[in-house]
Amino acid sequence: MRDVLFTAPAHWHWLIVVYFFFGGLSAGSYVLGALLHLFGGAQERPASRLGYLVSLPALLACPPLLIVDLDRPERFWHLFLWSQRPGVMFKWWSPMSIGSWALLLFGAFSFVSFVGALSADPWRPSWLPERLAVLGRGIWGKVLAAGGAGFAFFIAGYTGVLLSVTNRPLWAETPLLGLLFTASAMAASAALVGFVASRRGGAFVPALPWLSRMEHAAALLELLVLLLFLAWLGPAVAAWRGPYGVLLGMAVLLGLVAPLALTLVRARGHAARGRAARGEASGAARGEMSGEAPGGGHEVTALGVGLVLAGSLALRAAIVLASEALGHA
Amino acid sequence: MAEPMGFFTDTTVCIGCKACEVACKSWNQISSTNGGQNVLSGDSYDNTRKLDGEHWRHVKFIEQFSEDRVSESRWLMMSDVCKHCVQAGCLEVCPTGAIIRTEFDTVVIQQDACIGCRACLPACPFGVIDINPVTHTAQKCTLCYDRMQVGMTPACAQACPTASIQFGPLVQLRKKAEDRVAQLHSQGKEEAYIYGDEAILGGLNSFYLLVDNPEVYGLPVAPKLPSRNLWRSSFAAAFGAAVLGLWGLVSLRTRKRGAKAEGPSSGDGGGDGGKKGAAP
Amino acid sequence: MHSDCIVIEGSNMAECHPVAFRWVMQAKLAGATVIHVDPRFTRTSAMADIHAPLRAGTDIAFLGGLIHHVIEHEKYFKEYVVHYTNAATLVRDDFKDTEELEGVFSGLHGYDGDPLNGFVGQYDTASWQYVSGDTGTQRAGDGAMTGQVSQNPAKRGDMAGKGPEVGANPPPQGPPFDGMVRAMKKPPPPRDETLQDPRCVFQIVKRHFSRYTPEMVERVTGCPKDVFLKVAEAITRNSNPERTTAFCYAVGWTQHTYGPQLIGTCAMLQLLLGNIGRPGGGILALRGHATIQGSTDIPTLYHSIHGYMPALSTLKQHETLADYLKTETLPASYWSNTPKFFVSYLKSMYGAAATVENDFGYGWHPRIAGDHSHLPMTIAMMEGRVKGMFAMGQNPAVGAQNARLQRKALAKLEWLVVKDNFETETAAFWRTSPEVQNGELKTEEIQTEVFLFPSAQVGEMDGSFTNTQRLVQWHAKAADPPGDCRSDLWFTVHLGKRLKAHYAASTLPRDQGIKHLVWDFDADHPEPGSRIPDEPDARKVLREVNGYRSADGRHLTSAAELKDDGSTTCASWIYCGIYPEPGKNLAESRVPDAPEGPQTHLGWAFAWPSNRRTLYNRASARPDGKPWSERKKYVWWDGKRWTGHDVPDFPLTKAPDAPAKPDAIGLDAHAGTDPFILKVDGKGWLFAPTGLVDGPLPTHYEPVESPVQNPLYKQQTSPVLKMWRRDDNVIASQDPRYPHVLTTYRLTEHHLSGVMSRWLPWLAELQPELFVELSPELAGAHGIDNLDLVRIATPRGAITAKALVTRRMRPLQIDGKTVHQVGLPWHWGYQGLVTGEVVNNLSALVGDPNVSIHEGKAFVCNVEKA
Repeated sequence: MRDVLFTAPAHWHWLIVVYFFFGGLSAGSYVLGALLHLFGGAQERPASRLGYLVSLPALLACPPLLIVDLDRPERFWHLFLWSQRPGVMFKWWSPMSIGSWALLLFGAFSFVSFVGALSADPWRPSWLPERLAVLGRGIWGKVLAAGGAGFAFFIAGYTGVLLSVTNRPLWAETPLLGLLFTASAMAASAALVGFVASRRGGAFVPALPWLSRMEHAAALLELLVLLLFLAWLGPAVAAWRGPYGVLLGMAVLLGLVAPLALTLVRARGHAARGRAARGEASGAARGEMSGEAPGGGHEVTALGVGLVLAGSLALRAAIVLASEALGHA
Repeated sequence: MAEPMGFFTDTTVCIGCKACEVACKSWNQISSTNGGQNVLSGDSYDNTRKLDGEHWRHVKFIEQFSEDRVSESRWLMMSDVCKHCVQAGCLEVCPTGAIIRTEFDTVVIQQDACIGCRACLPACPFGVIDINPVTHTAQKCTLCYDRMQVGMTPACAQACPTASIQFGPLVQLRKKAEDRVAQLHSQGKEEAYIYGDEAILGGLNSFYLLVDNPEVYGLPVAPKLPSRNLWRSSFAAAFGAAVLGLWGLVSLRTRKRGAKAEGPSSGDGGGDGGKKGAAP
Repeated sequence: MHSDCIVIEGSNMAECHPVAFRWVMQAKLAGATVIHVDPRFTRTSAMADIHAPLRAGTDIAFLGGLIHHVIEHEKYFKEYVVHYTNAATLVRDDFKDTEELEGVFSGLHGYDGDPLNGFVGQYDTASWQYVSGDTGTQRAGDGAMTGQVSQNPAKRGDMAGKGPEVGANPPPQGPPFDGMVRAMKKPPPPRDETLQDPRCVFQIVKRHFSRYTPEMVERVTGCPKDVFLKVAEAITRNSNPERTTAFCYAVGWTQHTYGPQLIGTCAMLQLLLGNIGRPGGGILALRGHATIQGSTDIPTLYHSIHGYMPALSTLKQHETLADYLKTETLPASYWSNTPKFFVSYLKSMYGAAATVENDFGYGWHPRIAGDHSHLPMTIAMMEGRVKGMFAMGQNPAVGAQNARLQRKALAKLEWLVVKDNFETETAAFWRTSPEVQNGELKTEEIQTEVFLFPSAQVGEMDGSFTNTQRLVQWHAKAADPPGDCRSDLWFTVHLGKRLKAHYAASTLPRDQGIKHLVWDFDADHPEPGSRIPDEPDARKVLREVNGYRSADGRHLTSAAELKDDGSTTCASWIYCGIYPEPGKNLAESRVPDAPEGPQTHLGWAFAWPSNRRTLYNRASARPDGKPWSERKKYVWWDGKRWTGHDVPDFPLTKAPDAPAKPDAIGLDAHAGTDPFILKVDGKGWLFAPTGLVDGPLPTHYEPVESPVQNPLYKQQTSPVLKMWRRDDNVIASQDPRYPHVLTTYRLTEHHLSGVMSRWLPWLAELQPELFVELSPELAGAHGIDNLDLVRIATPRGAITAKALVTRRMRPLQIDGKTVHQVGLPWHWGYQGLVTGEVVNNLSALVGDPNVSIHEGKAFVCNVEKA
């Protein structure tokens, strides 16, 4: 029998799954924002800010989930300070310790970037001084983006590392979870940011193609890693015989295959219509799903983002819960 | 640091009386499964099932009987407990410093510091730790740290009627265990061996004399530290981050160059950007 | 611990005596072979080198097979057997063995006493006697206690024959009583030390067990022949001058209609193997509750008074003190001191009021009039002959046989006092019993007034425990009990004081006993800091038990100081010396031997009598007084006196070559080679002329309820057992409706009816529910899966339990057919934290004729999926 089957489950259930999901979204959105910020052109700046704008709200869901999940929530501060003496509590070799700090620091980056982005956004609330937009500008903005992106990548990946640094079935049997979660986070975030950008249209549209490609790249990587992960596990994959296997199937089908297929179909349709439009008249060809937007087929539909996000959530649930279900030997 | 102390559990003289379980609970004042109103497990005489937050000692029962009861008829019993690993997985992952190594080289979860994050639960290669439903903190055997501090024997070892659980300085216990294995070997019981020498996690300070494979007793053959996955998993994640980051960078840069080559962009002309992106 | 081989049979020692089992494990660690003979594969079997399975209730066949093996292969310890046992003694010509009478002994006739006593037959034991001489009266386990009249045919014949002489020239009556005892003395019986005389015990035993071959053992018990022979080989290999084998038993042997005979079989085997009185030998009766040994020494039994002296009985020649002493005193043996023990006992009862003139108050002492044990008492309760009951530390609503009948009997009482830790099933029978639930009893119609007194726990009181090896250990109070909880001592002493006050003014002759009863156990000073100022002083009880000089109160140091003239006061002669002076309570001593010492630990507590750890230890030396071997050196003659690792159980200066004095009494009537000082002839008995009412030799009978025809004899069951045939106590045997053998037992995790365990979460969680253990073969035949609910039925009723299907249970081949055994632990009831059906609803009121123990270990049942 595999050694990991003699261990006890962590009782990490939906709160943690949802945290992984939001953490990934927040991190991924921030990374997208930062990439567009650092390497994109001026026309992508609105979309970059959108990344930051998505990141913080997603991140805000995380601390409550984590704290509520603690059996002694009122002691959550022990993660940062020694409880029995003055001093900072930090263990770089404990994924949870380093993750807590990373979450805190990433929160700071995300918050500042968010404020900077919101100040420059058309939807800036009136009470927010416009000059705070300076936070996102210039060299300061780039340094912030670079630093924040580093932490964001960490947040996206450490959750997988956290699961791996255990002795549990599935989790500890592969080093790929961090990679998998990073890829999944990027794909889901790209879809989400892409969706918001599609909805807002206008200045946000120029980044859509890149977001779409980013999503596809991440999704392909995710699919690849997932296959590798399953191959790596070998017979241990049997753990997914049952409801969590259905969940994993859904994760793959909904989150990866369906959106890719959808995009492929729409891209073809768009190309055909594009030819037709060039042949006849440009303008209002009827969109298949939610109306043709001026994104050149890179708009993300509600269904599209819904599928990707559901897939991302299902992936995390399938991995976390399947292992949790393997009880104490 | 005081002398390293531990348990030597000789399963060949364990009579499965569970006095250790009860003595442990009595001393440490631990609650019982559903207030005592447990259900019959149907698994031999084991109704407490596992080590967890309210069972710091647990006696396992393994029935090995062939159909004729002749070729094989054994009922193995073993009182299990926290191994107090020299290299302890739980101690590694604990984010709050609640889990400490004591002066006796034992591993203790400080109840006033534990936040119940449960990171130590999956980290333990033996599945020893769980949340206590009353205190809502992670709990496991402390090797009766409080008793040891005043020179007393842990409650379970004190209560064990057959000296299956022996407590003492590890050096002495290792010697006793060697002698016992040698004795069993000389009696023709070649299957006896020690589980928990230095080869396992630097040595288990609570170690066992077994007469069958570790798995039979619900023990991992080669328990490992969770941290073995720390670097490789982190590198994989970093690799993923690098790939996606670079891909993003490169794709953005190439698109920019492409855009420049095609002509000046209006900057906020959404449709254009879209077309350009879609071109390849 | 000093044994080379330990046979545990009739006991699940590891589970039920885990602390004592420590020493078995120590012996095993030292290399001893451990054997477990039991119907089930238990935690004890798991620790054993050999597990021999057998059908419940067939141990006599198994042990008889071993005796046959030992004699047949001449593996017995010849020198020991010839000198130390009655193997050579000749038995009367008219004795007829079961081999001749198809399973019964000579002298069987119908029982014509009170049917309440339950006998189905009775023996006249005259033909069982030695050719001549006294074999002594009947002691613990005698007939009178269970309702038969006194039977000492040797003595009876003697009285008949010499009646006129007695009248013409009455022996002097005491005190001192020595003259009277001397007059009772008769010459010793003839012996044939070549063991060839067909009338000698050895030849009788050999003939008696001649058909108990390994094949027959397998046929009767189901134990495979090769396993049986492995056991035989192990015990014979480990029984010789260099090595010793011990037997341990518990209620798996006693709870049969032939329980004492079963233990007797083992005693015979151990005598043949020379394992009595030697280190690492013997037979350990593993006693039950905390101080069950103590409660037979200082008895809570109806049939004996302190120190194993028989209770005064209306069925025996017990009219006067002299009558009692004549009936109960053995002129030879240590029991010749009975007058001293008994008068000192009467002095402890009645103090200064006990005088020579009033026979030391003999006439005030209560007497028994039949079997007052639990089984007939239940019937008497049903018949309204018993008005009230104290249940202290006892829970008969769960623990008694045929518990349904028991609970109905409780409802016929006028009053019931329960003193226990919790509201037990007995205390709550009137509101929560199954009979109330199903309408058989109606709460509003039950007239019984129930008083429930909460009890203190052991840590909350001073007192003593006497355990299996007669070791008396004192325990000190650690804390006051909570609330109204009080010790049993407090309850009993204050009850006694109130009763004495109640009768203080009575002039009725029958009340003189309680009026004169000495009842002075009040503490001189209340314990400092205690909430309970009127807690009696347990040490005063100990002083009473130990004894003191009547005149000045000086503590006695040994039973040798006891006098029959009233000058000494001693409640229990066997405990005399435990408290030799004020402030020196030997039960409190805690000085173990050093690791290199003899490991008899004489400085650890007190073992009665005289702090002796092994009884009859003279037998650990050869007849000439030298140790049998250096390895088993224990007690020996050093040329001047007996010495060794233990307190010698022999007159210290009596040389090994000292001859028996024909006209002496007491131990002077024994030779220097007679180790069994409590026996009239100084020998270990392979054949018991007296003491047992169901035969001088053990014989295999089937349990009252058995699916099997007795393969050995035409006689199916014991011809003199006790049975109460009633509609509410139906018995079925060889009944196809009940094809399986049912045996009941206990688990480590619970204590008896569960009063000390089912209420405690820490214990309740360990074994939370009643289960029935079935072999996969039996379960499969009935379509039962693990954890299925199973209905178990006997002629008395049916219960349901969850199935625990395990290969630890195994079907046996008995006389060519498959017999399944079903196992039920009986710890559950309808009160407490965890509950379950009462297993004793299934058992029957049937009993052994000697001691009236019930047959709880083997009856018949059927199982089906519920």
